[in-house]
Parts: sequence; structure tokens; C-alpha cells
Amino acid sequence: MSLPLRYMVAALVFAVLAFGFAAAYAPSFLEAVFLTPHLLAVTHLTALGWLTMVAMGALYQFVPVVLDVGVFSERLGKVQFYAYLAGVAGLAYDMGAGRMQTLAWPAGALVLAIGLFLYNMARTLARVERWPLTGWYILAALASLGLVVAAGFTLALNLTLGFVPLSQLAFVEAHAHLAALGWLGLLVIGVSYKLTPMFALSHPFEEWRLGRAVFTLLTGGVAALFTTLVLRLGRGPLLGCWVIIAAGVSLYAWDYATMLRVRRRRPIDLTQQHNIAGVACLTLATLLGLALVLTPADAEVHPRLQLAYAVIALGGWLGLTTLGQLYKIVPFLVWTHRFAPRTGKEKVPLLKDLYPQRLAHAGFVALLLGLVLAVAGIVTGLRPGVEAGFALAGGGIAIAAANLIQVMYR
Amino acid sequence: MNDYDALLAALKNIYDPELGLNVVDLGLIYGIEEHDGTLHVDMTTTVPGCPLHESMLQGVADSLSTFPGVKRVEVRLVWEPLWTPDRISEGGRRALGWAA
Repeated sequence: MSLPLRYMVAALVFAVLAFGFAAAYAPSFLEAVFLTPHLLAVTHLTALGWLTMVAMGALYQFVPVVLDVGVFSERLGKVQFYAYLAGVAGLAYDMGAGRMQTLAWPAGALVLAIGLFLYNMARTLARVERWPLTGWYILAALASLGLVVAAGFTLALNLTLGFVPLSQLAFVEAHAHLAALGWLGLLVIGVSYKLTPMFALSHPFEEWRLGRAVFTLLTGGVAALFTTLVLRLGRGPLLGCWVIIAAGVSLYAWDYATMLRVRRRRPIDLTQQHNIAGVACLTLATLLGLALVLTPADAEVHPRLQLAYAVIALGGWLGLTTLGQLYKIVPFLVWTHRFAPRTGKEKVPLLKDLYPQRLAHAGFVALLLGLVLAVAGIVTGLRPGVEAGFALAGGGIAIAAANLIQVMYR
Repeated sequence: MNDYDALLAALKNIYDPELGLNVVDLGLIYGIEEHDGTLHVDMTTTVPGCPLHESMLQGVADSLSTFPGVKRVEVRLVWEPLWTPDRISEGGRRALGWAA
């Protein structure tokens, strides 16, 4: 199994686990107490197990193609994969079981694995000669990942040693935002600037026209948000950060809509359906982020809005988008390995022929409806809605996982 | 010398597996010339850095190597002129749902 494919398979398994645990732990989510072990376990299964695994696997596949440079070391990538796998599993187990005192061990494995990944990527990127817009996004995303890991490990150590004289909650908020918006968000947006026009045949699309402004606004906004949250600079600066981020998101959403409007390939395929829903969730999450700054922290609805915001951002925007890309990446990897050598000699299937489209679409609808139901349940405080929503979304993810994993046996 | 149309007809079996269109209808074939048993093919992809370029180039080479008298097929990936959707054939446009 190729290096990127290992990451994809593990990511799909973690995604199913994340939603399964989310459905099971739903009652504790509504207690309005954050940093509960269960919530931390689900969050890290989602962010590290599912989303980051897809991101790492995709980069091992994507960087050589987009930046025209070979990966520095595939062997290092394999070592890193197992260290990372052990780290995520250990972290989720410790968090789920409430064993916060031993958290530094799996966190250490994760630091090692991500350190190896960043080293591998740094050596790879050092040889890039021409930097397209997507390359700059990848660079900024990797820099964010380095900071996220440093902040996360500091948090894990601080739980036992207590050596950082900063608010633990502020540190967690800064760490989470840098992970979602900086590492995963910048990557997803940067990659979409390359893949959306390519798949949709949106020629000619000038990526730098608004792309430069989007990049500047989002990287600046994320850096300012991280600093503002860590140092607790107050509501004014926080609002300023969100206005900058909202401006970046608005321009990106406009650019994304333009890519779709000028496309020559008219049918909206499964990946684009995921992406459209993902961009809608990004817009919604941004509006919620702004609303949260303006809502008093002691308002009754505040913690529920915070949770809804996290679900929309992680499960909606990043989850739907990455899953949509998996429907391109996994069939492509399998096709290249199995069918490409037979091209020109015999009839070979198309990528979309490698999995049942209707089943994939059913999975997408289930995931989307499940997320809508879960968010509605969270906002209204209705536990059955949250449980049913996460269970339905988990069913959607399970369908996608089964569908994509069976592609490998074609 | 092989018939140019016959060579193109053979290449209509080489598909971009993502778009579901063959390389001829996509307008990716810029030219084919035959000299002393060697076929020289100039082709492009829809975007530079297309991850499928290697397999499509190999498919083109394999497909043409079966023609009588062909000892070698050289496929060159070119970017001049840059591909645009205007190169897609009428049939290809219909398949993509794009009314010209």
C-alpha cells in the first residue's frame, strides 16, 4: 500500500470512531463544560486522527505533483506514519479515559511524528524552484502545524507541571484555532485553488487575482487571532481579528463561486458537492465566530454556540471538504497503481467507475443531514437531536469509508 | 506510413480517467509525425502538473506502438500553446454538458 493510501485508510477509520464516540458521548457535550475528557477525545480523534491524517497523506501525494519536486524520504514518511498512529490512538484513549496525567506520552509520540513530517516536508520544499499560489498556502499551513504542535505539547506538559503562567483555556482556544484555521484551513483553501479549476475545467482562472489578498488576510488574521487569544487581549482586538478573517473568507467564497461559475464541466460531481457544502459551512462558522465575540461569555446560549461553531468548522467545513477530496485521491491512487499500466492496451475503467456513485451520494446526504441535526440539537439543547445527528453523520462517514476502502480491492 | 486518421482513431481509446473524455476529443494531441519507423507525438494536458500525465503519455505510446512498421513512439509533453477548453471537440463539449 502506498504511503498516501495508508494515511487515507487510517483517517477513514478514525473518522468513523470520532462520530461513533460523538454519538455515544453526546449527553456530556450539552453539560456546557468544556475540556471534558470525552469532548477532548472526540475533538482530537477528528482533528488529528481524521483530518490531519488526510492532510499528511494528501501532501505526500500532492506536493510532488503541484510543486514538481520529489518527497525527500518515503522511508521517513513510513516511520512517521506508525509513530503518528500510536500517538493518536494513545491520546484518544487517555483523553477518553480521563487519564490526563499520562497524556504527555502519546503527545510525545505525536510531537516526534509531526516533527519527522515537518522535517521531511522542509527538506522537500527546500528544492522547489517555482512557487505557485498553492505552494505558499502549503508553506503557511506547515508553519502553523509546527506552532500547533508546540502549543499542544506545552499544554499537555502544563497539565502535570503547570509551568506556563497563562490561562489554560486561553491556550486551548488559541491552539484549536491555529489547528483548524491555520494548519487545516489554509491547506484546504490552498489546495482548492489548484484542484477546483483543474477538475471543473474553469479555464482561464487567474488564481492570483484575489488569491493573493485571500492569502494575506487569512494568514495575517490567523496569526493575529492566535496572539490575541493566548495573551487574552480582549474583545476589541478579537473582533478585529475576526473582521480580517471574515474578509478573507468572503473573498475566498467569491473566488470559489467564480471557479464554479466559469467551469466548462457542467455536472457538479460528488467532490464538488462536498466542497460546496464545505464552503457554506466555512461561511456559517465564520459568522458564528463573529457572533460569539459579540455574545457575552456568560450568556446561556454561549457554550452551545461554541460547540455548534466547532462542529460546523471541523465536521462541516474541514470534514466535508477532505472527504470530498478523498473521493478523488483514493480512486486516483488505486487507478494509477492498477489500471494505468493497462491504458492503451485494453479498456480500463474511469475513476468514477471504481465506486458506486449512488451509495457515495447517500453517504454524503447522511453526513450532511446528520451534521445539520446535531448542530440543531446542540443549539436548542435537545439531546436526542444531538445523538441522532451524530449517529446519522457517523453512518454517512461509515458508508464513505466502506465505499473508499473497497476501491482498493478493485 | 500510417494513416493519420487511423492513428487518431486509436488514440480515441485513451481516456482522461477523471474527465471521462478521450485525449483526442479533449484536444490534447497537438500533432503526430512519422519518420523512419518512429512516431513523434506532441501532446499536452489540461493543466501543467496534471497528476495523470504520466499514465496518459504511456497509454498513447503503448496504443500507437502496435501499428505496422512502428519501431518506436516518442511522446513529448508540450505547453506551447497552452491548452484551453476551446480545443475540446463538439462531441466532447456535449459530454461535459458545455454548450459552445
